[in-house]
Amino acid sequence: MTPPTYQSCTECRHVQYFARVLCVACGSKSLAECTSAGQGRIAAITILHRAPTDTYRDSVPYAIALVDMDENFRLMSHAPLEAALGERVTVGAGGNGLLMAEPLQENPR
Amino acid sequence: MAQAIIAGTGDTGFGRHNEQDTLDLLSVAATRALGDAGIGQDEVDGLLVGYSTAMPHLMLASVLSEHLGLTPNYAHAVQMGGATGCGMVMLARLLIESGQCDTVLVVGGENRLTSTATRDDVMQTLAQVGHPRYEVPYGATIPAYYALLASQYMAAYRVKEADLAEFAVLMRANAARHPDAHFREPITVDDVLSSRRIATPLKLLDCCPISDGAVAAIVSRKRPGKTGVKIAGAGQAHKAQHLSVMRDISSLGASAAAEKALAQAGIERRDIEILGVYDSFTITVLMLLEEIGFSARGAAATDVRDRRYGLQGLALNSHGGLLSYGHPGVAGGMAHLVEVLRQMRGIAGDRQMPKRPRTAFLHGDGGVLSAHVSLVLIQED
Repeated sequence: MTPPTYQSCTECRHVQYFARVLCVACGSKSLAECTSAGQGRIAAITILHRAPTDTYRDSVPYAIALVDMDENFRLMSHAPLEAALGERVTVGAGGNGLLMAEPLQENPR
Repeated sequence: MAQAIIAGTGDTGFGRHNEQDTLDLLSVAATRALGDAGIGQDEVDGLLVGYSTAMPHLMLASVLSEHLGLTPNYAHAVQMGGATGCGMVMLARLLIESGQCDTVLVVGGENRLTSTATRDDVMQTLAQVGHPRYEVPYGATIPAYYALLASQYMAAYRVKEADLAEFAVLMRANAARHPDAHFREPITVDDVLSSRRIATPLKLLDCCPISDGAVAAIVSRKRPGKTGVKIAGAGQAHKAQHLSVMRDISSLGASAAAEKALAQAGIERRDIEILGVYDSFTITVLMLLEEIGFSARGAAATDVRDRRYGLQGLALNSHGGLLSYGHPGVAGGMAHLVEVLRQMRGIAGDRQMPKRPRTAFLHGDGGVLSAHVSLVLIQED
């Protein structure tokens, strides 16, 4: 699993997930490309029962989550159907290049 | 400074309009609006037309202009997603006030339901409001984006699925009193809760339909001695396009846009007598009402149950909104405008509020509560 990357402004320390040419907080062009430790918390989750394309038709139902990463940026990822709001997760990309959020063992069940 | 009024409206009704393409529908709505305003097409010197997913032309305004025999000195298409209708009315007002135009035709519509595009095509087109690299590849859909908003908002403000359902029921009850609505069969909260799951917590009846239809309005310079409905205030806010960037879902721009519009009009929320608020999903209208402040946080559904948003109170989307009157894209948000004007003119038929409203608030949102436009309309004596 490859952890997600993000940008960190070397001037104001603002963190952003979408790759850009400048820091949206202060305008600086001095951005460091960073690799996340891959841990965060599920901020939102939905289970899709209607797919948009043939590619996803066979995957229904599947879950999409928004995860607040510990480095202070938010990302979209896939998640297991049993994942729940507020759970701690490990996020990484698999062979298809898409991020997956796996709930950590520490979560109370 | 010239003052902008809404001189007339026209529409096709929403639903299934077989064998009619974008230009056909736009033409019908436009000619009806001209007729309603009592002006000829030779008087139109400005044209604003909303994008059509069924006819994604590079120059839709020039095409429509030629098609209707107009010779405007200002014309182009506008694309702001669901905020396009309110956005075009705001721009038309600026064109009037600046002296650029005297009579602006504002129109939107398409055959989104019966065009050759499949339902999958439409869903994919709409899903592109998400980020092409960081969001869309996850198989996200428009309902999924709003479901992710709902997931956060419902947890933060203790909103239940049955609360969302109240808005679907209210919109359907309103649509039942409108002969031109797409869906008029009454529904219950249980019907909504037991409808097919789309993207949890949203079910089929939490989602607007895909419809055909068009709506037009004539925005013109107020002539001396004439009365009309004045566009008294307008405001926009654009804080973020993508869901992944929206960290504070309690302040997405709706209240910022509304504040500007209300301040310009010089009135307060409590002075508003009818609402037309974007309702692409039940969660959409609930969040907008609560962010703008017509309902307290977490209390909008209770307000529906208490009939605060009924015809006897502060009427909300009395035509049935996007959820039941229907949603053919840009025209969907413009139908709210037509309805509040009908109520203000006292011609809303079975839906007429007992006391004709003199002030209206309209709000459109595009994307995933991304782009916001608010309008305040006031009936002049």
